[in-house]
Amino acid sequence: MSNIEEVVAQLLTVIHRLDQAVIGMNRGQADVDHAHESFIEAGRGSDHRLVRTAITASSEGAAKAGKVARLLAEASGHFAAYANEIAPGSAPTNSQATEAAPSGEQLLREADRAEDGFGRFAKRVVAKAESAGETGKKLIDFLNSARPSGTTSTTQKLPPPPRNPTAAGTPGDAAQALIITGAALVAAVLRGISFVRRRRDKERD
Amino acid sequence: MSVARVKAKLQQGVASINVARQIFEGVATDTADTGRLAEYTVHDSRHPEVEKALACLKAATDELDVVLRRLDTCVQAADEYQRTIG
Repeated sequence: MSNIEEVVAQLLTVIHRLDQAVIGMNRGQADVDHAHESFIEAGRGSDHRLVRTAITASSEGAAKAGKVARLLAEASGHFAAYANEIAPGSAPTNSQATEAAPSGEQLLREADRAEDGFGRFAKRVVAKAESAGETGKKLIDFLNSARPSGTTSTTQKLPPPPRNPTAAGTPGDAAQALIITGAALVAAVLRGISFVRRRRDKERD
Repeated sequence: MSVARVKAKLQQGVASINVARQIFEGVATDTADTGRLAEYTVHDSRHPEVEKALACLKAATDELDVVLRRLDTCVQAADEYQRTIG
């Protein structure tokens, strides 16, 4: 790793993935909370050891899932602070994790649950984007060459990304390119999901 | 509450735990990958922010293992309780 531009681009990938992981943990935590409520109802009026265990373990599991989310968000924050020290303004100072947007990974899993062609399609798209992400520099180059001036039509439909805009400079461009990839990917997956839902609803009617 | 209703609630709980487990396993895999990328990216840095970030990442990974074990305990207990009540 020899140049700052590459380091910053990779740090931004790391930050983005950690933020997605935080969102995943929060969603999973909500499911565990839900399970906890079910176990409490199931155990109403019973002192049986097993149902008490299920109640306690689900409560602990939810609390610890929350702790994991906080630790991941903290890691993301420290990486962002480091990125901003080596290239001021290159990383977001507020965590993406607080945003309510579901991750591509989660959308993908939901699509998989629907067990249809779109799930397989989305998996291919995400896998492709993931492997592109591994070679951060190549991705940036590709996006910079493929991207017209301004943003793509896909990203224009989305609210502006909450990352801090940076002054002109290559690390900023790299950051923007990564944000655009993420936004475009999520938008594409969302469109696919809503298409599948519409089709399913139609079949139901 | 009827036995059938208790069982239904237990099954609901187990189903929610399984959804969460799937999500957490995905997070665990992703975070392991992210950790490798992070270490590769900052391998020559001893910057305090880097050290804190890596320490948080390690703590998160360890804690996630504990979360998954708790979920296993939950499912085992709920399944066994279902068999106990008939």
